[in-house]
Amino acid sequence: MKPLEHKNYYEVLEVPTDASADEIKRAYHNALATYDDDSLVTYSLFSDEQRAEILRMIECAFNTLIDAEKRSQYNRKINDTSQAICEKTDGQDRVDADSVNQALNNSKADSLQAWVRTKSADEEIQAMVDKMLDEERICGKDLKNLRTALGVEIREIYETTRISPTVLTHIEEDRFEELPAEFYLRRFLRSYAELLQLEPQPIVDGYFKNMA
Amino acid sequence: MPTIYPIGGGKGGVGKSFVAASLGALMAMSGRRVALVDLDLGASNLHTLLGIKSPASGLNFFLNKDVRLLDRVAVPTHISGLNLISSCHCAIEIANLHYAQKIKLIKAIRNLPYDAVILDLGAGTNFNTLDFFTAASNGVAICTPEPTAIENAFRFIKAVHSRRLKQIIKTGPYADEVKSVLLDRRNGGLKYSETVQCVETYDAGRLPLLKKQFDGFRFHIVINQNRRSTDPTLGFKLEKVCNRHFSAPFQFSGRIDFDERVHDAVNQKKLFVELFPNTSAALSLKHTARELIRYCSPATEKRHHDETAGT
Repeated sequence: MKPLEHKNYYEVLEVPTDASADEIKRAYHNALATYDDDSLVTYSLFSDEQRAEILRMIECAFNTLIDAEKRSQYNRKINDTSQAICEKTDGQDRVDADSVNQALNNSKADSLQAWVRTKSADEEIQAMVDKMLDEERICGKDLKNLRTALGVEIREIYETTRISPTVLTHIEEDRFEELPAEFYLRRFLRSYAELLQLEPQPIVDGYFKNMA
Repeated sequence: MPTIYPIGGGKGGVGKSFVAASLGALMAMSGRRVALVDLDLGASNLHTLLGIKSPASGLNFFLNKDVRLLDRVAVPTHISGLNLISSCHCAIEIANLHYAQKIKLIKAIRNLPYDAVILDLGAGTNFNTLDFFTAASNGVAICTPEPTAIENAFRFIKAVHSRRLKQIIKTGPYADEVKSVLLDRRNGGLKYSETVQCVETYDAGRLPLLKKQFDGFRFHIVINQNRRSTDPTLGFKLEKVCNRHFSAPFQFSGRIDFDERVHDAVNQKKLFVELFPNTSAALSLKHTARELIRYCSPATEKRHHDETAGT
């Protein structure tokens, strides 16, 4: 086995060389889930520096492969040198450990959760959330407004939570008769709330109150 | 030669003895001749799990040389086909087994006249535990879905690898430079990547041999006390991460569901799989037993033994 630092970007993300953008995104989210600071799977396996280095490589790999132009450049480089290595010293790709987290926070395409986390610190958003939670009832429109204010699309929620876009739309449009059984609806609302960095329980309770 | 299943995992209380006893019972119930060996020296309680208060014989008679054949100190259990070799009557200092005794014991275990021999090991990473664990071609590492258990499991894996690498280098036909560099006591634990580098530098021709010897041992990851809230893909993720960062074969071989009634069964000194055979915990134990049987066989055992002969 090659050590991670000798792997090429495709190997880092464990995707085939003809992977689609969706596959790359999914692989990237999986990799983050595995190597993140609070991941159970790799708990205590790496030192802080090693972990930062791995996360940096994952970031590098994702940023290159998700961008059609950078990717084709990179592919040419692989073919030319017949060894595509995530170069530590390559000036252009060089991102030091500190900026990994920043990159996570800055770019929306990078990570939905990091994006929402940054965004929800916004005062306007804060006010919106407070107002929503003050009300006893919470309707789909409230959720939708918050989601759009955060700049999150239904499709993105689906990609992370795997709740079907149709169901998500039904929830947001209060089409109660179309909604799934209570058990599922509770779980869906919970995931939806968590994704938008909201306390899940008040959202679930408020939504059900509005439905009753 | 029996198929040996060492059950280890680093952390205490993750259910090594419980899993060992359950697997032994299930394998015996499916018609195999099984010996359970309690190698949690100094903290043995396999006999209690099996409802035997005070085994009539045990490891002490073999280590004292009162009995020459290890099989003679095995006692039958209430399950037909399942025998127990207990260490509960061993002297208080037994936890610090002498090297010669350990070698003798490992040799005797490899020659036990059973289909399957299950070794219940203690927590921690002391040399005895590591050597019993690597006495077979497959080892089962038990872990619960908690950071404490995962942390100890990783430590255990690293310790097993370091121990194996040292054995391989020490007894293999590697160049003297390789041996003197890698076996230097000041070096501390060995890592596979460092070992490969060293062999590549001084004895490149033997790199394939090193790889073959190192890959001859397979880790089976078993998750115990799996809860409904546990990430269902945790085992597969662990398998992947281990294969990626430890460079030896790892395999996720089972997920045993948590069940409150395990506690009740232990209190009654009865086997959970007998008391509650149709619970999801018992069924997942059965599944795990099947998975392990599928991958471990006397043939892999023999190959492993030949390759590490002399240790």
